[in-house]
Amino acid sequence: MDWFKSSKKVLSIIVVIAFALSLVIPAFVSSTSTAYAKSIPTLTYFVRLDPKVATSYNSYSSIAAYQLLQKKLGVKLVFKHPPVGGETDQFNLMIASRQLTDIIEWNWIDNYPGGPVKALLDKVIIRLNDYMPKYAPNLSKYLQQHPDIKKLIVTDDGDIYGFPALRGTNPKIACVYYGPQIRNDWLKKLGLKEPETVDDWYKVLKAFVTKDPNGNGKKDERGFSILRNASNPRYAFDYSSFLVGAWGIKTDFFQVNGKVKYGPLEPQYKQFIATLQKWWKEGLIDPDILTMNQKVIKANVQNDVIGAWIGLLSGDMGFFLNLKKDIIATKFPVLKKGEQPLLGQAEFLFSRTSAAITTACKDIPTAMKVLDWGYSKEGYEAFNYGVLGKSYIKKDGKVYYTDEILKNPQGLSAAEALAKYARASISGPFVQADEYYLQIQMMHPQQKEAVMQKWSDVKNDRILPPLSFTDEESKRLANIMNTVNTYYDEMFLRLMTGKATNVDSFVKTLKQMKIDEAIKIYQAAYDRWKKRK
Amino acid sequence: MEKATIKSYQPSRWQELKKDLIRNKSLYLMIIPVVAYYFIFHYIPMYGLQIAFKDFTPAKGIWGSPWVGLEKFKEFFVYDSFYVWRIIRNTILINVYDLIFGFPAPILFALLLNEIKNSIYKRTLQTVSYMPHFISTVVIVGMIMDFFARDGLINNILKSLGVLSEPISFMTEPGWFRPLYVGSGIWQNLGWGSIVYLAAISNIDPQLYEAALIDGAGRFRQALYVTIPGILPTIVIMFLLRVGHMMNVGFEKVFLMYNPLTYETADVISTYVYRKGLLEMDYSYGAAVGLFNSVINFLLVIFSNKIAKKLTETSLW
Repeated sequence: MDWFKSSKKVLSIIVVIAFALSLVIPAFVSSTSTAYAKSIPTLTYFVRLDPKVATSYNSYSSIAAYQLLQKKLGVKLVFKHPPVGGETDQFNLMIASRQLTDIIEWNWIDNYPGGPVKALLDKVIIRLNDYMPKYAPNLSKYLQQHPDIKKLIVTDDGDIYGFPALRGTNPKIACVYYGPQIRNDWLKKLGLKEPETVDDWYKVLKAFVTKDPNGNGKKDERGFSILRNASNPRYAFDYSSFLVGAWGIKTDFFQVNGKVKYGPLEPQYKQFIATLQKWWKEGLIDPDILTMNQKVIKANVQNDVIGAWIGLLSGDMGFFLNLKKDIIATKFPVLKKGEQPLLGQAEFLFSRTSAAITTACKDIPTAMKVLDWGYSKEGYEAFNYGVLGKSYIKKDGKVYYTDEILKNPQGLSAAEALAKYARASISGPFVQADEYYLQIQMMHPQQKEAVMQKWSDVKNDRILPPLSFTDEESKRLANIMNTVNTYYDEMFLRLMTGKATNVDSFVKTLKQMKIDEAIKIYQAAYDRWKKRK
Repeated sequence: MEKATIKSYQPSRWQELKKDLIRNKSLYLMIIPVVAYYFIFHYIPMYGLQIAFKDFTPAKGIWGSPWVGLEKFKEFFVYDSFYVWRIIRNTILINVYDLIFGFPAPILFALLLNEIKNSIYKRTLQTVSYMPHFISTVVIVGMIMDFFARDGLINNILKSLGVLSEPISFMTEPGWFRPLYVGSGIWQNLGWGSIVYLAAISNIDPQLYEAALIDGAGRFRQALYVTIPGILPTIVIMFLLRVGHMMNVGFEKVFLMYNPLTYETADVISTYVYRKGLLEMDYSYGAAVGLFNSVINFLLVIFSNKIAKKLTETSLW
């Protein structure tokens, strides 16, 4: 023990231990110390970085509208953007670790298990009702004037949990943006008419793949494809009701006269699958939709290999029209000529995303003020149009986007160029303006025709609104639907490609997985929704 | 009296330790950071394992969440019985294939490299074979997807050779998943994995080879009777370590490679738990399955260590 007596040695041991601990300790000390601001209030804001912004900036704080907001309200917004593609992981980590930002913009309905009710219950976000009249006069007024929208954004108990991202006021132009598109030049070349019925579609696609419309002498044409980022074509059908809607059903939950139904259990589902099988067997469907490799599919559309597809209005259709492809939209197919389609793609004016204030927020009034600004006249103009004289001008009281946006000198698309100034091309906690839809989403006449005449000519009364479930319900539902969805994802592809043919046994397994109970839960939630005020 | 004095000369265990501590103090100091690391990052977090037996919600925290006993394990084995056996089977099969084909590959490669006498050629070959190890999984899977796409490199080669008339869609055929997974793994880790065996080979006494040569053994016999027995302890240790991961498949690679059409052969425990436990935020479920996995792995290591001890006299402990 004599070495203890030597102070030099003791010192050296202390140094070594301190060094060892210094490697380890910093992990414990979280970096909250940066939150102290001198005089201006600072708020942290979690929101995904939209790729349209990412082409120019790496943070929303660089967007002109947010610069204006920070200056006008005297606050500092610190945006926390999760890495692109890792949004859900990052969100889940944030919730699990309780390192919440002050504001979180998120689709609480679909992407928080249990929905907004559970998020309130979990004490992740706060109920805003009591703060609304005092700190959010603009949104309060808006909701008073639009009770139908209020009904969409509250929970069954009437709780307001966030500032909603609203798609304008005109569902006819704002809620339709995904649907069938077809090569007009191919139709003309083969002397075909725009397909209306399911049978027409079959004939057109058959002609596309057999009669060499791209004229390269090779039989390389693919009739039908899908452009949507998802792991499975099933989600494109879920989402747009293309084809399946002709039979008046959806591939997932929907309702008829107040009764909730689930697509695969309906007798018409067999006919839908049979049609898909026929298309697949005869090579009318692009085999790349099995892996949903968007890059390959998009390249094939560009290289004149694919004749028809379902895709986005601006990102897909606009992209191809800019390349001077002769493309038109078609109506959603029906069974008999002249019928109005029962179901098509349609969203609600409320986009299901809300900016909510978390329990970690120390300064609720300021957070309320910041989010409410988007619904004021000033905020509306900043978020939708950007900077007067730069991104937009006013003529005779009307708003027009400038050439900087519409014909961007740096070669950005209009939506990308606008994203440098405003948020109109990315929905968020404000009301999107009609001008954005008319001038930017529908720059080409074919797009205007798609939205105003083709895709919106749909009844769409069978779609379920955003429902909210109780804690018990959502737990049970998650249990059932996780099992069901894994099975359904797999079976949908097997049925489509003809590897499985027996729809009855598929349905039987769904019943064993207690799909009926899930339908009951949906029914109860829908009944409550109808009673909402 | 006499006995007592004799006894006092024999240091107790504690005293021995103290003596050792003093004698090798620098060694002990050097190990402190490592011990601290394991204690802080691997032992302390283990208290979190209790959420496997709780209905955990982040709002209530780990201590505040109510106990539910074996409910989460029941959920896995009973409620999810549609999948549980399939994912366990897939997990084990992928590992067994990897053990059969993937494990011997670097050994064979090392043996072959050992026979190359031209050192420049040998070094180049080695360096080239290490390369794939440093490519990230995401890129590897991207390459696999491009090469094996319906109009990708492999299909084009096979078509131009006249082997195929119709392209095979490798990525959507359940039957192709395991060969692609294991095959790409071999390609990626062949060179890197062989390093440890090459090191072992270089430790073999050259006199043994001379003796074998005098006895008239050719190259093949030398490898068979000198090299392989020489590196056998290394092989056994590596094998035991490998078995310890039997129930784990690299989540990342499966997740990137699979799609609903290949779930049948590709869905493994970790991907299923990811979909259910993390995407649905059922953390307790994830913890329960993870615990189950670790226990099986633990038992496998103990079991195979015992067998190895009996058969080869080499073991981890």
